[in-house]
Amino acid sequence: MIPLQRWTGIALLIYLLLHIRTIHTLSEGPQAFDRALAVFRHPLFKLGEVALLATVIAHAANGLTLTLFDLGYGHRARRRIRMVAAVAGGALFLAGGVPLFLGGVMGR
Amino acid sequence: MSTAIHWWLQRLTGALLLLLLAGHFWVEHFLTQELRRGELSYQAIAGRITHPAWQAIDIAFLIVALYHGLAGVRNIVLDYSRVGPRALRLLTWALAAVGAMWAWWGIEAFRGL
Repeated sequence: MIPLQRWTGIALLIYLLLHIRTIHTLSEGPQAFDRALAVFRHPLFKLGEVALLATVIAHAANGLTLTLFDLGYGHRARRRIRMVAAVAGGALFLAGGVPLFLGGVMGR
Repeated sequence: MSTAIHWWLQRLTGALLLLLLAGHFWVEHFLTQELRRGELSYQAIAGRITHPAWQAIDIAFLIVALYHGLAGVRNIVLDYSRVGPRALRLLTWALAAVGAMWAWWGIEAFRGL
């Protein structure tokens, strides 16, 4: 799914550029870095982290399947391969997203 | 560069990012109880980011991620619209300038650590 790859890719690039700007505050010392990080302690940002994980996993799983098809593999089993990628991606998202949600949003 | 090289570089950097991102999420979000609660701070990561080997990994990660993201934008523009060779060269340089600027900001973060 090429449109999915494009939209998740653009979202991830925007995130990357903002993320680097935050990390850059390290050059102004530990206090400036901690002040910058404090903003992201808000539960809304923690929820955003869960969404970020979902976007990364979707982009990776979709990118892997697209590459496989581009190389000429798996054309006869396209549906099944997409299904496997979706299930594996979903499982990985739950494995990472549930602890992130419980820890960051619920404070456990 | 030919389009084939761009195609392979995008896949190669994608594969590298798979490993680097998995490691990044692990060490920044899951490694300790403190991190799992999302209590990221200078204190929590100081040991890691002051280590030269980690700095090398992070800087390589930064460059690979910027390349992959900006080359991706170039691919999208090429796929969506007919771009002449001059416009394409301009776009490539503009994206390279963004990449250089952000790579510098990322690397500068380690200065003084």
